[in-house]
This record gives sequence, structure tokens and C-alpha cells, in this order.
Amino acid sequence: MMAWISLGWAFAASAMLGLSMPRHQEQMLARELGAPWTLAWRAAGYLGWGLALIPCLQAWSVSVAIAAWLGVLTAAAMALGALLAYAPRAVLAGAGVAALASSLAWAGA
Amino acid sequence: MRPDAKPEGLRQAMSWLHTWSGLVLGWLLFAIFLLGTLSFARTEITAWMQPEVHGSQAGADTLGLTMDTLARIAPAATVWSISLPGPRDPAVRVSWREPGAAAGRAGLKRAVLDAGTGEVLEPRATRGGDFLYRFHFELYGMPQIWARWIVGAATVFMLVAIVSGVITHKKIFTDFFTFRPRKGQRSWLDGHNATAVLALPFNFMITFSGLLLLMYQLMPWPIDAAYQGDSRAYFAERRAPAAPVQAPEHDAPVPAPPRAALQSILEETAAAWPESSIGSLTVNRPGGHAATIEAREGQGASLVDRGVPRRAVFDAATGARLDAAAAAPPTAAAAVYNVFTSAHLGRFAGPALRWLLFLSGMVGSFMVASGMVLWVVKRLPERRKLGRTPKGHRLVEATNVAALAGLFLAIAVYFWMNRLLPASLAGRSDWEIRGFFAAWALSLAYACVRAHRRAWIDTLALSAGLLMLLPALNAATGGAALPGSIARGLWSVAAFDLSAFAMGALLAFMAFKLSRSGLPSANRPQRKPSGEAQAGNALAAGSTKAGAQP
Repeated sequence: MMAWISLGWAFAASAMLGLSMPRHQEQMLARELGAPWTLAWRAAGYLGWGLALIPCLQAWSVSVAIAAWLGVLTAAAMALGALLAYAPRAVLAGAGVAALASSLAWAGA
Repeated sequence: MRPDAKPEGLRQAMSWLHTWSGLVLGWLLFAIFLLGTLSFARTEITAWMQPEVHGSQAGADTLGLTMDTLARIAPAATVWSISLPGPRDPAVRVSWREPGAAAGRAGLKRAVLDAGTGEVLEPRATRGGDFLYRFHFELYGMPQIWARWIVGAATVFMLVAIVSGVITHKKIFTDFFTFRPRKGQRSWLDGHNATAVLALPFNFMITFSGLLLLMYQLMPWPIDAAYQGDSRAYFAERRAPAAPVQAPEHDAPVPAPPRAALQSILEETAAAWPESSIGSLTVNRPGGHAATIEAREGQGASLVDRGVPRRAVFDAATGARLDAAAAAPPTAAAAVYNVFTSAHLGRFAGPALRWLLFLSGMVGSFMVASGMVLWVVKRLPERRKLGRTPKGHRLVEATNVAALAGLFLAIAVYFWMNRLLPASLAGRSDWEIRGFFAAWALSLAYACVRAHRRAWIDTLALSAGLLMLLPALNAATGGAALPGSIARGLWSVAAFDLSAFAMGALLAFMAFKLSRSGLPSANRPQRKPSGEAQAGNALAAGSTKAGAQP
């Protein structure tokens, strides 16, 4: 369960990181963002990646959690890459749903 | 160095290094990566390849029945080792040592038991997942030390390719999540980059730890120097076996632990290791009387202390827990070694983590494969200009088909041989392996005589068909059939069937995409390369899904 929660957050965070990159801003928003927003999304994205480590730490010991976390980041980033290539407009909604569902599941756990 | 003797930038030098270091050992690396990835499921593969054990179902009295059987078939043994059934293997696997037997693994006798009845099963002879696992670090049919040097060299090349690739394609960190389909070479490069960067931590970890694991075989000199050539003493010391625990004296010695003792052992270990529970037991039987039982946990909870699994020692007659000296915590250097190597071996991994490792491994395999395909795709314009295919390019093309698609065929044939060869055939485990290599060799021969594109399509389609039919074959040849295995919770077998089908479906999709793009073969000179034609070329050269999307 914690692995799924972590995956949801990691996916949302990856989307935020995407929002800090001009190429992906164009894909998701059809326009480029200014420097302040770019910076803000980048910070949020890295923070989100960090947050995704928390459920792993709750489920496993530190060493296993880090290994699992790296795997989760890979899976999340792969999913985002595929979505950006084939359904870029669905990314933001998907990221929102993933973040919300994971947060609810985490709060409920 | 450039032929025109102009100074070369770091990126050009790295690009050269990346291209050629990748090509030299890429085919071998793909085999190492793919078979290594399958090795995460080594136990499950072996269980699937022994349909005789599929009927085994653990019950409340599994341990007691196992002890009864051991008391019957190995009454004089000095030690019984029992590996309990779990989610990865439905059968009980036991081994024992008769008095006066040779030291080490050679002196062990083994049996496989039905977990529900305690009966001795006679599974067919097969190397199972161990063959795939062994091949990925010591190849086959050559002296181990040679093979390990070759694999070690490939691993070093992989590290070189990872580092030089990151330097060459430094843009990958700005276009992080980019994949542009239907763009020929561009798509392949995107796919190659994305799988490389996104799985970079995994790729680096698995490669680096692979080197660490090979280190002792390849560079034994420090140990030889410090331990005067006695490397066994070194490993024994690293493993630090705890001092033997003395069992209290009993008036009437028991041959096997009674049910009540087993029950209390099971309860106590379940309480002590809630998330991993009991995985295996050793019954020490000096003089043929059960004295102590050592229980070990099923899965370690931490990577750091691997090599010193948690254990508990019990009195075999009463089940009372005995005081055992706690194992010394590992030193910092040993802990780092343990973290990396245990991650590589997936030793600690529960189902979630094992799947993550498996998927990461598949992504890594795709990265290697796409690199090999890219080598060919990138040289298509040059070839068109030339109006013919240079021999070297043709060689790479044909080898690509065999080394990438052909390996899937070889794996599929290995599983088919497992079920089609008679269970009692003498030397049948060797025949399974011969089937594997024969299929691989045939795919190379086929790639040499057929057009490049045709060879890709046919090899992929055949592998896809064989893999997708594996669940049916399993059901038809005495294995646990799919709906039933899921209903029973026999996930080792069910997951194998489902994964084989999914893998076959993926290959079928690629073959379909390749055959659908009705574009001229890459082998012939082409019209002015439009975007579409380039996409066709990428498909013609390609094996994998990245370039083959609609």
C-alpha cells in the first residue's frame, strides 16, 4: 500500500518538475511560464520527490526504503514520460488525482 | 582522435567512447541484463518448471509432516535443513548430511516434499531459473574464471557507457521526460535517453554492485595476501557464524522435534519477526538425536545486516528458546558492501520491491537494446548515400536480431523444452539448455539469410507466440492452470504465466507494428528521406516499443 502512495506522490512531483521545464510547460499548458513560476515548480517537484520517500520509510527500514524509493521514482517518471508523449493534456488532471488519492490513502492509513 | 587532427571536445570524445564501448559488449550486456532481470524471479521460475510441485499446499502441520518424513528418510543424518514453502515456492525443500559425508555442498542429500502431505515428490530434473541466473554472471560451458572476467569486463564497459552517455547527452537533464514518437532516429534516441536517465539510479546501482559481487573472483589478491591464500578463512570470518549453542540435556533423546515444540517455535518466531516470519530451519542432530533447532527469518528487514540474517535457537525437545550470542553488527565497509550487493541480489525484497526491481531491470534491458538499434538507425543516412550496405553494418544488423529478439526466442524455447521433453529422459536438464542455445543459434542463422526487417518480424512473432502460449502449455502438461492457480493463491506459478503472456503480447505488438508499416526495407536505397520514411527505417531496424507506436 505504501508503495502505491509513494508512487502517486512521486508521479505528481514529477509532473511539477515537468512544469519547471520550458518544453514540458508548452506540452502541458500550451504556453511557457515565467522564471518565478518555473523556480517554484522546480522546488515543489524536488520537495515532492522527497515526500515520496516518507511512505517508503514507514513501510521498510531505511536501506530498503531507499531502494524502493528509487524504483518508485523510475516508475513515476516513466509513466509521466509516456503520458506527455501520448496524452499531454491528461497529465495535470492525472497528477492532481494521484496526489489527492495518495494523500487520502496516507491520511487514512 | 579525429582524422583531420583538429582538437576534439570532451563531448565528442565521450560520444565516440559511448558508441564503441556500447557496441563492443552491448549484445552480451543485453543478455546479462535481461537474464539478470529474470533472475529476480529465479525461485518462481524453478517452481514453474517443476509442475510436480504445483499441487503442494502448505497447511497448519507442514512443519510436523516434514519432520516425520525426514525422520523416515534420513534417520541417521547429523543435520536437517528445511526450507519452508512461501509465496515464491509452494514446496518444502530439505537437505541433510549423513554421518561422515563430505564437507560442503557435495556432502548434502536433497529432497522435495509436498507441503500438504509430507510425501517425497519427484520433480523433473531441470536447472530451472538457476540456469538463467548462472548464465548472467558466468555464461555457460566455459571455465568460470574466464566467464567472470568477460562479464566483469562487460560490466566495466557498462559503467563507462553510463558515465560517457550522461556527458554526451547532457541535454537529457533539461528535456527530462521527453519522448517523441514516430520520429525515426529521434524516437530511438529519446527512448534510449529516457530509459537511461529515468532508471539511472537503478542502472548505476545494479552495475556497480555487479562489479562488487565479481570483485572477489576477479581480484583475490588482497585477500590472498592477508589470509595467506586461504580465501575460505576470509569468507568464513566475514560471515561470522555464531558460536554453537549447547542444548540442555534430556533423559530421553528425541529423533525429531515433537509437535508441541514446533508449535511454540512457530509462535515465537512469528512474534519476533512479524514482517518476515520464519523462512528456514536447521535441526542439529549429533548422533542422530535432535538437539537444537536454528530458525532463520524469511526475508531480511534491512539491507545493511544481510549476510547476518536474524536467527533464533531453540531446544529441539521442548521448543524453549535458548540464549544465542547476538551476531556482531557489520563494520561500516561491510555494511556498504551488503547494501549494494543485497540490492543487486534482491535478497531482502518482498513482492512490491521485487516487482519494482523487475520493472527497473526491464527498463535497463530496453535501454541496452535501444542503444544497439540506435547504432544501426543512426548509420542509415550514411548507408543511403553509399547506395549499399557495408559488411560491418550488415553484421551488426544480423547480430542485433539474434542477440535481442533471438534471446527471447531462446528463453521461450527453454520453457517449452521443459514441458515437452519426457520427465524421465536421461540428462533432460542438459537437453533443456541445448534447446536454449540451439534456438539462439538458429535465430542468428535466420537473421543472416533473411532481409533485416523480415528477420526482426519473424523472430519477434515466433517468440511472442511461444511466450503467449506458455500458460496453455502449463495447463496441458500437468502444471497448475491459470484461473485455478490464482484462486488458490499460488502466485509463483500464476505470476509466471501472466508475465510470460504479457511479455509475449508486448513482442507481438512490436512485430505487428513492424509488419504494418508498409515501407521499403532499410536495406534498399531510398527516396529522399521524409519524416515518414525515417520512421519506417526506425521500425525496420527496431525491436522495441519506443519507436513502434502508432
